[in-house]
Amino acid sequence: MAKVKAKREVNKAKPYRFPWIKVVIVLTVLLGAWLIYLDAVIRDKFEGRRWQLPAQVYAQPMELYPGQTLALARFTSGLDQLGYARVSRVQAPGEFSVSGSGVDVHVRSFRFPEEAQKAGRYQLTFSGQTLTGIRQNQSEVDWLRLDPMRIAGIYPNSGEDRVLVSLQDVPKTLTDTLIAVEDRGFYTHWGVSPLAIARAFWVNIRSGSVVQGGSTLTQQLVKNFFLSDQQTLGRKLNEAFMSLLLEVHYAKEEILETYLNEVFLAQAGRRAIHGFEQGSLHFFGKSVSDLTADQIALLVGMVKGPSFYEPRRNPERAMSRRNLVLDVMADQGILKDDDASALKKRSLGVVKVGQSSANRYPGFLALVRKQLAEDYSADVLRSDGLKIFTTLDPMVQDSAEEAMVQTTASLAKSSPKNNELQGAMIVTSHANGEVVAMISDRNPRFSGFNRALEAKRQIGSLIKPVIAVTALQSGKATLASRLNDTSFKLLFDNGKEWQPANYDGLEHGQVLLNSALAHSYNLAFARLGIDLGVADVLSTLGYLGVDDLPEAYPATMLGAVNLTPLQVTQVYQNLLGGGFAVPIRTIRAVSRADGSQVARYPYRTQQVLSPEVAYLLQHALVSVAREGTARSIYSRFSSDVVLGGKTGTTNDNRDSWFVGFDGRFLVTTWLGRDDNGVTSLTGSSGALKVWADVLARVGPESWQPVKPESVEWAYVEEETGNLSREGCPGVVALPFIAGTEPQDKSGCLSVDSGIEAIRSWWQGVFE
Amino acid sequence: MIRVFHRNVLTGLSFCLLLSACAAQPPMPRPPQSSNQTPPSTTVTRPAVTQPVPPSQPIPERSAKPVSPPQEVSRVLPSATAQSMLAKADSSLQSGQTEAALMWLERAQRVSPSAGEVYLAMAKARASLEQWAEAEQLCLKAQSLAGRDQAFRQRVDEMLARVRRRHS
Repeated sequence: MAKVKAKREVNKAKPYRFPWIKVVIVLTVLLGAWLIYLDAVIRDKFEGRRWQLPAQVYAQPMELYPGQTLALARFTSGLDQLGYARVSRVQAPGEFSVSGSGVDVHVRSFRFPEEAQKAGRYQLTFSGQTLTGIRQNQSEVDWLRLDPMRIAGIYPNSGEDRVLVSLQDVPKTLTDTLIAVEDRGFYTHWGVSPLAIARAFWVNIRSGSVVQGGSTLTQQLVKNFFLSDQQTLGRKLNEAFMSLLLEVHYAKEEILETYLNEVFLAQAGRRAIHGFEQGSLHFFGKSVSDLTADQIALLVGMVKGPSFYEPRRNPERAMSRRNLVLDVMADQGILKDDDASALKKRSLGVVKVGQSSANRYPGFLALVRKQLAEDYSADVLRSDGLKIFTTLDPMVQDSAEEAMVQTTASLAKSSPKNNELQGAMIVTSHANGEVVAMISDRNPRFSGFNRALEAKRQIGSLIKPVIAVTALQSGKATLASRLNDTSFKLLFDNGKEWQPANYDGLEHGQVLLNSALAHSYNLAFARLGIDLGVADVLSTLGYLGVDDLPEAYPATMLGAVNLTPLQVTQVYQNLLGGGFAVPIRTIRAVSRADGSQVARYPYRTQQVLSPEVAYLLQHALVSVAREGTARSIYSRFSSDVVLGGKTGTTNDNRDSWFVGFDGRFLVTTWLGRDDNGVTSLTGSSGALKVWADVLARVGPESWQPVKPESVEWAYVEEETGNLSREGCPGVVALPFIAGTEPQDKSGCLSVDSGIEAIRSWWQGVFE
Repeated sequence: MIRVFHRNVLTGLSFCLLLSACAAQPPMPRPPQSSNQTPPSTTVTRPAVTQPVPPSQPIPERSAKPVSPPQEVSRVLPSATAQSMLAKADSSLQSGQTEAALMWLERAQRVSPSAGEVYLAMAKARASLEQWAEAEQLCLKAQSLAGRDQAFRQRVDEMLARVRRRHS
């Protein structure tokens, strides 16, 4: 009994062993631990790297100077491409107007690797095909550079696209407007605003659903940064605690700057546009520092519903929202009432999507990525916010694309054999090896197999200049050397025979080297190559830039060598460099997100030929266009423009090549089928047409190399290769390294010599 | 006076003989850009630009064959813009900002790619970084663009000799 009683007493005492105070202590400890955890989360994120920043890839900037070959229409087309707005009166960066032969343009600011360029207004004048003057504030300017076009990004797996901006570079109008619209108590609250929450709570209770948020900017930042979109009590509590903690640790300015870079503003395909700088570039094609008040109003207005107010898809909603924000700006004294009213009448001013669209030039970008991969890891490219300054010239690229698309479409219709025609093209600035355009597919937007980089195809007659250079460099030949263009047969030890033939099936007897190259005579060049030594010719190919040399066979001398268009470009680039090899480049410089330079990819050169030999060979390539297999080019251009190049055709017209050049660009074009099938095209009836079309679009300039001092021109009788003189029949003018001119004289020159001798004799008599 | 008369008669006689020797031959085709005159040893600073003609014309048959040498380009001087950029580069180099100098020089190269001065200046910048192999190649490039300008050639040769002395 006593036991039972005692037990009862124990039972009665139990409630007193769990007092509320203990519960409170436990909860407090748990809460404290939770707060410590949240605090660690916040500090870890804020003090580490806050975002993975994609690498931004830029085209080369448009560089302008008086005297430059640039037509007004071409310039304004470039401005359109850059997303500059054509207006009647220029007021802000990113705008231009045209009147007569002049353009008034307000250039946007941009941070180049070597200097920060401020926004500024310039007046440009044009005359015909020439930019004649640049003025700023009534003063002449020597040169001007526009901000470069962003052509791609290399994104983190999250797909977030973001360009960081510091608070000091954000216009005060923007921050004032953002605070006025989203969180008027920002500078006074502690991260949460009980008054705002109470107001939102009341509105939501009355409406029966969540229609208004009471979140401060700090809370919005916390939600975007750390939490999900779930509307649960637990998430809201975490948000409130983390906001308070954020405010304890960090200054208002730092929180605001982080918000400005974090906020989500749009979805563009797989890219999520975050932050006001990237939003500004995405919608207005310019930096946030160059925005006008109405553009600021639109961007700030979009924070409430980036998809709902997306101005390209929903322009009316966006306009209405922008005007509402402009009213708020006027109410809060950020704008004058009159200004706000005037700004409401403006259009949205959103640029076309293409300006900052992702990976518009997949062929070129594949080469950029390949070159970047040599120096940077994929992780660094996706997360360090590098700025990659490339060599792409968007105007040339667009011309090349139009030429490729239109010409291949036309050629495909010309024969059933061309139905599956494919193509690739590389355009370089031959003076410095910069790739200014590149196409890897007949459809330039296709980003699959990159034919320009990876398609190894037989090069056919493109090998002939390499044979010619080997001959000229050896000192055994000049352009006037007579080659034997007659049939021959080689018998191999295994009993097999090799018997080359000319494309026209004819033999042309004794021909000058210059003429044999111009007309691409196979027999003459096969003989020359074999005489020189196939290994020697391949060695030349090696120092002209080909690393993976093929086996040495006689057929190699007719172009049985598989090279990619990129390799072909490198070889011809080196042939055009006046004897100096220049590596092909796609990148000029790389800088960090803050603009400081990481690396530069400078011009480098290495002598591989004597300048004299290079000059001679270049003349032979000009002869190809003047009188040889590429002479059809002069059906499109006046003969006073000097052009050069070389056609290449392989067996059964499986490959149509043309490598052409003018004073500025070297263009390598390949056409053929991926299955190596037969087409109806030779080098001149296929690839040459694409080059001609590119040239017509970009405007040809004459090729005018500087003549080395030790090169002399002489007249040579084409039939015999003997020295002759101007005016004699059947002569051509050819360059020679001094002292290598033909020794034998033509009959015409002998007559002249005789006359001169008689004249001297008569003079002697009379004197 | 008699000597002058005799000279004129002889020249005329020789000219007649020459004409008669060539009379049976057809006239030579000539490219429009060439002339009978000796190629001028001019300094050309900017290439000519020509507009394309409509694509309907037939393919010319050897009509544009170069029976005469082209206009000789014996030397290209930097354009006014390139000269300003060279001055900027020089000033950057003087103040020890070699990377900035090289940037300016590459911009000058884009404006006047055939002007030897640009490469000579690049060679100086590379030499200041003690990149002797690069400097040597750039000197050689400048030399290849000297044409008949002996004064410029001498400047390049001096620089080349300096670079080679340091390089060896």
